[in-house]
Amino acid sequence: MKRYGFLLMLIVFVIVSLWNFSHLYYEQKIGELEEELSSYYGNLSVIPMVVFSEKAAGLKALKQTIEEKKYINSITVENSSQVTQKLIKKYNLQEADLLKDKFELPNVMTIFFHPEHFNEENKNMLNRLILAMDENADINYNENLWQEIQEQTTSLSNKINFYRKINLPLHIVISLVSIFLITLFWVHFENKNNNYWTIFRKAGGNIKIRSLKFYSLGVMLIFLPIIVNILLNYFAIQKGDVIDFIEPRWFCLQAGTILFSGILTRSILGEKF
Amino acid sequence: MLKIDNLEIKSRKKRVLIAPYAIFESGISYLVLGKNNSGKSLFLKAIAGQYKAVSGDINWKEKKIFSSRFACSSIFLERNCHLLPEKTVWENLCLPFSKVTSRIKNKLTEYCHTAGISYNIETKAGHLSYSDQKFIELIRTAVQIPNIILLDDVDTYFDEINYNKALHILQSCLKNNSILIATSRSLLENFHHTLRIQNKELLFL
Repeated sequence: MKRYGFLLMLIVFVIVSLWNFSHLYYEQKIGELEEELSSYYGNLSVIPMVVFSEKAAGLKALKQTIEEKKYINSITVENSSQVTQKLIKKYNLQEADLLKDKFELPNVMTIFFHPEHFNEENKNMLNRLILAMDENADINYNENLWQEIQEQTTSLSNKINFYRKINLPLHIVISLVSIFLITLFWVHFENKNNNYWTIFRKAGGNIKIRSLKFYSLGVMLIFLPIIVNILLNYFAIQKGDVIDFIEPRWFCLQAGTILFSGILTRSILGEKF
Repeated sequence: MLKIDNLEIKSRKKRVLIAPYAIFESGISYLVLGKNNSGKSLFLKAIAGQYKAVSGDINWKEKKIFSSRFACSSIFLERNCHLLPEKTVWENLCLPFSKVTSRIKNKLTEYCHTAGISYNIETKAGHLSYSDQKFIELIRTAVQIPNIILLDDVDTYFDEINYNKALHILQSCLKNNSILIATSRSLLENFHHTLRIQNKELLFL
């Protein structure tokens, strides 16, 4: 009889462990994808859009219009004299200082983006606004890189969204399969013990003992495998194999699954108790 | 005190036995005589609460027998043995006890000695003879001192010597106010009262 209890404990422990392992693997996979995504975004965030225009006032007005947009990280507008001074200083062109009144450089607007929000639609909108402000404005942006990264990030985002969406249904499916398996084994083991309990009763044993044993086994099945799994999770984090703790709600779902299996088993066995 | 009033036992909707009125006193042994298929076993099963096709009253201390946790205080020893054959004699003896106290241990040892099975205590129960197996059941019943002990077809378990040993073991239960009701096809000695099933009716002799 104790052997069956131990076997059932082992089965529940294996189920809970596999469940947690798959959950951790899944979380780790999402983490990797998110890391990859943020690395793509990191690459894109350092690439600015540079707009050259003769209209300084137009650029300032445009800056005021768009700087509150979600996809804008930062905007700087430099007028032609600032640009000239900057170039002279940067390239040591003190001799050219004499010529600066003869040639006028355009004003420059430099825009850095939050790439996760800077999508096709926003890009087109921004282009339209710039051209509306100055149709001769020169827009300088690495379109090819943006396009390439955009494709990659869209695909990655879709993947992450998909994984996040199926998270709960996946747990529910695992829970249902676990309920089926645990109930199947539990009923099987209880039936194997029927002969023992019949003889026990005929021998004058307390008829409540079977129920008592069933419930105490149920309590142990609910708590022991989960506690061991929490400890394993803790040690895995200490060792560095795993990054995160499994959220308590998933442990609650596992406890609920075992509890429901117990209720189901009890109702299947019915009068045998 | 066990009181039976207008008890009617049916099998396949036919009346098998009627017991108009009977009182079974604590500390007294009763032998119910009857032929095969006379309803002896059903009578015991009805008292043990294992047979439900009955009408009338079976009262224990003025209360309906099935209204309390009565099943715990009566033990019914059927003709066939209810043992765990792969377990030892001692394990089978200790089966109904959640905790084997020194009192229980001493009693079990004493009764095993009386029954003559003490040398087999570590043997698997399935390897013993039928009468020795019945002794195991009898001993663990006697140690529990239930309110009622029901023995079905007691004449088939034991020869004369073993029968006396069995009665000796059960004497301690009777001293502790248990009621012993046994059934038999032939008249046996050493019972306080004898009843007979005649023409489907239970009568005191």
